[in-house]
Amino acid sequence: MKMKRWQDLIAPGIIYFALSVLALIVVYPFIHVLSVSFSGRGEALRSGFHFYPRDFEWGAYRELLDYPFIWSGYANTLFRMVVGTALTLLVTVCAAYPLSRPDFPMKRVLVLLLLFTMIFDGGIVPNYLLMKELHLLNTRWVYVLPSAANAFQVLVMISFFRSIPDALIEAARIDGARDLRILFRIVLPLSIPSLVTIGLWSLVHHINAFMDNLLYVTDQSKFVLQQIVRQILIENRLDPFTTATDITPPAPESLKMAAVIICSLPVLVLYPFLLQYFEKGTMIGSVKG
Amino acid sequence: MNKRIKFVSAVFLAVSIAASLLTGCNSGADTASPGTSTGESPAAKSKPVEITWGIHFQAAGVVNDSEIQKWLEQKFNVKIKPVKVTDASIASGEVPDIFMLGDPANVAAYQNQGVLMSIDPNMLKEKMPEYYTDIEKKSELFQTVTIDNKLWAIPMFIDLKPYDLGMLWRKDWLDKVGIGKVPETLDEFEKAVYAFAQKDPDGNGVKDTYGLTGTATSTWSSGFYSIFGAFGVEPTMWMERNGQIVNGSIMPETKEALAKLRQWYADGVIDPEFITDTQDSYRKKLYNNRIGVIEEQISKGALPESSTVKEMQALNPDAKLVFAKNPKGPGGDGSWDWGVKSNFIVIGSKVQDQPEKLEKLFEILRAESSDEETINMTSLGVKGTHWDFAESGAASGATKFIPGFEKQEQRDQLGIRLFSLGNITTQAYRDKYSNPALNEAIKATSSAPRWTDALLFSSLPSDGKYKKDLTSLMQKYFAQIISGEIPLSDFDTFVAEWKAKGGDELTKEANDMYQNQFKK
Amino acid sequence: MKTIKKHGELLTLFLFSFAFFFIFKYGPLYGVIIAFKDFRVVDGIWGSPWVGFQHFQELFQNNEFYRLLKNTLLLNLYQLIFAFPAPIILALLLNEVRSRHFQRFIQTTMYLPHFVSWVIMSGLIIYFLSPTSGIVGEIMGWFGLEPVFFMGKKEYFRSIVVVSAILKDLGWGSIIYFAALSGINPELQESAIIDGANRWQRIIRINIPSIMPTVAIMFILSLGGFLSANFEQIINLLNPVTYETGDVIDTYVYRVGLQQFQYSYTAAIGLFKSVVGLLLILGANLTVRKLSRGESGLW
Repeated sequence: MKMKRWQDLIAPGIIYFALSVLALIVVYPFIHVLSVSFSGRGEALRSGFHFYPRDFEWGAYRELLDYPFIWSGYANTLFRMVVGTALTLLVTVCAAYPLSRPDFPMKRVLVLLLLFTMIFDGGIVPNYLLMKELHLLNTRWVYVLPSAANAFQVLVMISFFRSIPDALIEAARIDGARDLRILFRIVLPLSIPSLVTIGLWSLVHHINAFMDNLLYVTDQSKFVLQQIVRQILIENRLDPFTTATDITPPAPESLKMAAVIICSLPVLVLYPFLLQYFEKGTMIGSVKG
Repeated sequence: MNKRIKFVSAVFLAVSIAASLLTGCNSGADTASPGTSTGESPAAKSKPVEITWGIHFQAAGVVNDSEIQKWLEQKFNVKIKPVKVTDASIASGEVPDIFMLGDPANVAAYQNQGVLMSIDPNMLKEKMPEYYTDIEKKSELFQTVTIDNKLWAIPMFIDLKPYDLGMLWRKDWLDKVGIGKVPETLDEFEKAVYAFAQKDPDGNGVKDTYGLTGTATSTWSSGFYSIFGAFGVEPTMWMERNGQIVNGSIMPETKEALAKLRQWYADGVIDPEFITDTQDSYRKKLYNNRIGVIEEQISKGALPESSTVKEMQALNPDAKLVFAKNPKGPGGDGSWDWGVKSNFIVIGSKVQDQPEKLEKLFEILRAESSDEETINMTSLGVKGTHWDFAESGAASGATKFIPGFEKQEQRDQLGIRLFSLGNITTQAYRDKYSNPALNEAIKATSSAPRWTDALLFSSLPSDGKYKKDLTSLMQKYFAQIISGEIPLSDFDTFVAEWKAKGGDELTKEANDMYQNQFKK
Repeated sequence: MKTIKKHGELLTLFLFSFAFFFIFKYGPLYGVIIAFKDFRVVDGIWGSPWVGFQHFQELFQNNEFYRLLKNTLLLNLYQLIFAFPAPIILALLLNEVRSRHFQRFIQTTMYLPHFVSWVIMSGLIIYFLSPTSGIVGEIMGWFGLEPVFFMGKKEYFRSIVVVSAILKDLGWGSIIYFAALSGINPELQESAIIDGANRWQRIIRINIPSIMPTVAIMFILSLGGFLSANFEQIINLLNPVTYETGDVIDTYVYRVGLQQFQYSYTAAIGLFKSVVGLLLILGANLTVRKLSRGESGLW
C-alpha cells in the first residue's frame, strides 16, 4: 500500500517536471522562429535568444504576402493538401484493408510487391518521361497522384487494421454484412486515430514538398508555396543580372522566419483539433456507442 | 518627356498585345511600332519560326504569354515557347533551341551529353559584328568552351565586377583603437585586427571581440581570400609560375599565408568559430560587434545604399563602415577573382538541321546584344512604366525600377528577365546604363585584374573525378593548421596527399590545356 | 473463380489502389538499368551502352567509400539505439499524465519544431554550442568546466546529429504511438487496477505489448533506409573538420551530383543502398516474426 502511494505521487510529479523541461527545450527553435518573424530588420539580426519580438511588427508578413504568386502558391498548396490527403487516405485504406484480412489470397507476395516500391526507385529520367506520357507535366495533378501510392503508409495501416479484434469482424460477417459494409461500419470508425496519423503525415508531406514542383512543373502560376518561398529566399547568385543599380537587399531574417510560419499555418491551426482523436479509449468507445 | 515616353510605350504595348491576340493582323502593329527593326518585311510575312527558349536560368519558372514574349514574337516574327531548363528535362531529351549556362564546366557537361550544337566563330563575327568586336578583346574566353577544337557556346564577358571582394572595416572601431588610416598593407591590417581583439573596441569592458573570421565552408575554396591574396596565391585556383601551371592549394606561398593565419589564431585574433562560419554568419558577426572587418562584395559594401551597410545601420545605427582595398602583402594585393567570364549562351543540337531557325536566333542575339530597345525591353521593361534612370530626367547612368516592379518576381510576371541574355550586351550599352558610383567604387577598390584562374575556370577532363575531394581535403587541412590542431609542417603531408589523390593528374591536364589553348 | 467471388469487393478495392503503385512506382522502375549502362542524354536510357558492373566497381574501389560506409552505418546505428525509442518513451510517459490539458499542451509544443527547417535549426545549434557565446558552454562554466568547441571537433559530430534529430522530431515521431496507445481497451487497464497492478506493471504488461506491433513495423521499415541519412540535417551541420566522421553516402552522392549528368553512377549507388535496405528489412521481418511467434511483422 505504501509502495503504491509513493508511485502515484512522486512518479507523476517527476513526469510532469521532466516533460515540462523537455518541452521548453524542444519548443525553443519554434519560439525563436516566431519571434524573429515579428521583429524588425535590425532586431532580427541580433544574435542571442529571441523569446519574444522586442519591437513587434508585421512587416515581414506584409512583405511576404506582397510577392506575386504567393497567393496562387497558397491555393496550389491547399489544393494538394486537401485533394492529396484525401486521395492518399483512399488509396492507403483500399490497399491496406484487403491485405489485413487473413484469408486474402497471395497476401505475402502482394505485401512484398508494395514493399519493393518503398525501396526501389527508377530515378529522375524515367519518372519525368512517365509524367510526360501521362500528360501530367505542368498540371496540379502531378502533386497528388504519384504521392498517393505510398507503401510505407499502407504497411503501417495494415498493422493497425490487424490490431482490430477479429471477433468484431467475424460477428458482423455472421450477421451477413459484406466486406465493404464491414469496412465502413466497423473497421474505419475503429481506426480513426490511425487515419488521423496517416492524414497528418500526408498533410505535412504536402506542405513541405517541392521536389515534384522542381522536377515537373515550370509554370509559375502552378507553383506551390514552398517553391515560391524558396525562390524568394535564395539570394541571386554570382552574376548580377544587369549593370543596373539593382542592389536588392537580401531577404531579411524576419522574412525567412515568416515564411516558415506562413507555410506551416494550415497544420498549426488544424493540429489542436486533431489531437482529440488520440485520446484514450476513443476507439473502443466509438463502437460501443 | 517622361510622360510622353510612358504614354507611347503604353500604347505600343497595348497594340502589340492586341495584335498577337488577333493573329494575322501583324501588319497593323508593325506600322504602330516605331522601334521594330527595319528591312525584315519579307520575313515578317512568312510563317513564324517556332523557337523553344530556355528562360534565364535564375528565373524560377515560366510565365506563359507574357507581355515581353509577345513583344519579341511580334518584333522578330517568331513563335516562342518559353521553357525552364532543368536537369530532368534535359536528361529526358528536351533540349531548348537556345538557353544559358553558368560556367565552362556546365558547357563541358552538356557538350559531353551531345545536346549542344557547335558554333562557327565566323558566323558570330558575321552575324553579331558589334558584339564580336568586344568579345574579340577577350578571346581567351573562347578557349574555355572549346572542346575538340570546336566552339560550343557564345561566351559573355564582364569587366567591372560588382561581386569582386574587398575589405569592409568598422571605421568607428579603427578610430576607437587609435588607427586613423584605413589599413592598406598587410602589416597595417595585422595591427588593426590585433587591436580589435585586444583593445576592447566596443568598449563594453569584456574581451569578447575578434579581429576577423573566415569561412571554411565555402564550396570552392578556403576563405581568407584577401590574406592568401596578399601572399600572391589563391587556394584551388590554377596559377601560372614561369610558364608552368601550379595549383594554389599547394604552393610555398600558401604555407606562408597559413603560418600567418595560424599565428593570428593562436593570438586570439581570428574567431575560433571560423570553422563553422558562412558568409551569412560572418556578416551577422560584424553587425553584432564581434569582429571588425569582413571580406565583402563591392556592390554589397561600398555604397551607402549597399545591402550590408543598410543591415548594419538597421541593427547598429552608431556603427560606421568603410570599404577598402585588399591588404598589400609580400605577394601584392588580391582576392578571389572570377575573371572576365560571365555566363554562356548555348544552342540546342537540333538547330543544326534548321538553318532558317539558326538565322533567326542570330538575329535575336544581335538585337539582344546591340539594340538598345530590345535589351531594355527584355531586361528592364518599358521605360517610365517599369524602370527609369535613377536621376530624374537623365538619359544615361544608373537605372532603378519603379515601385510595383522592384521585386524580381514582380517583373517575372511580365516576362522581364525571362528572355534576357544578360551580359551579351555590348560595351557601348553597358557604358550608357551602368551606375557611375558603383563603377568608381569597383575601379577604386577591386584588386582585379590582378589574376584569375590561369585556365579561366575551364573544366579539366578529370575534374569530376578528383576536384571536389581535393577541395575538401584542402579545407580540412587548412582549418586544422590554422586552428593549431596540427603543426604547420603537416602542410607538406597535405601536399603529398593532395598530389597522390589525383592532384598530380589534374596538374598534368592543366598544363596540357594551358600549352594547347591558353599560352600566348 | 471461387476466390474472386468470395473476395470480389476486396479485390476491387485492392486493384484500384494497386493501379497507383503499378503506374507510378513500377512504371518508371526500368530506370534502374542505367546503373549498368553509361547513360548519355542523346542515346536515351535504352540506347546508352551497357557497361555491366563498372559503376559498382568504381564505387567499391573508391578509397573514400569504406569511410563513408562506416560513417553511415555508425550514424544509423546510433539513431536506431537512441532516436528510435525516444518518441515511444515520450508517448508512454505522456500516456501516464492524467491532466488532459497538460497532455495536449505537451503534444502541441513538442511537435512544433518539426516545421522548422534544418537550415534554420543548424544555425541555432551552432549558436547554442558556440564555446564563446553558447548556452551550453555557459552551463558547463557553472560546473567549472572549460567550454568545448563541439562543432569544431570531429568526435562530437555524430552525437550532435543524433541529439538534434531527437529534439527536433521527438514530438512528431510520437504521434503514431499516441494513435496506437489510444487503441488500448480501457477495460484492460481497469481490470489490471482491480488486480492490484501498479503503474509500472501496467505499462510493462498492457501498454507496451499493445503498441508492440506498431513499434515492430516502424522498426522494420526504418531499416530500409539504413544506408541513408537525413541529408538536409547533415549537410547543414557538416564542416571541413568534421568530414572525417560526418561525411556519409548521401553527402557523397550530392557531391557527385554537382557535376551534372552522373545519373549512371548515382543510380548504381542508389541501387546498392536499396538492395542492402531490402535485405535488412527481410532479415528484420524474419526475426520479428520468430520473436513474436508470427504475430508481428509485415506479413
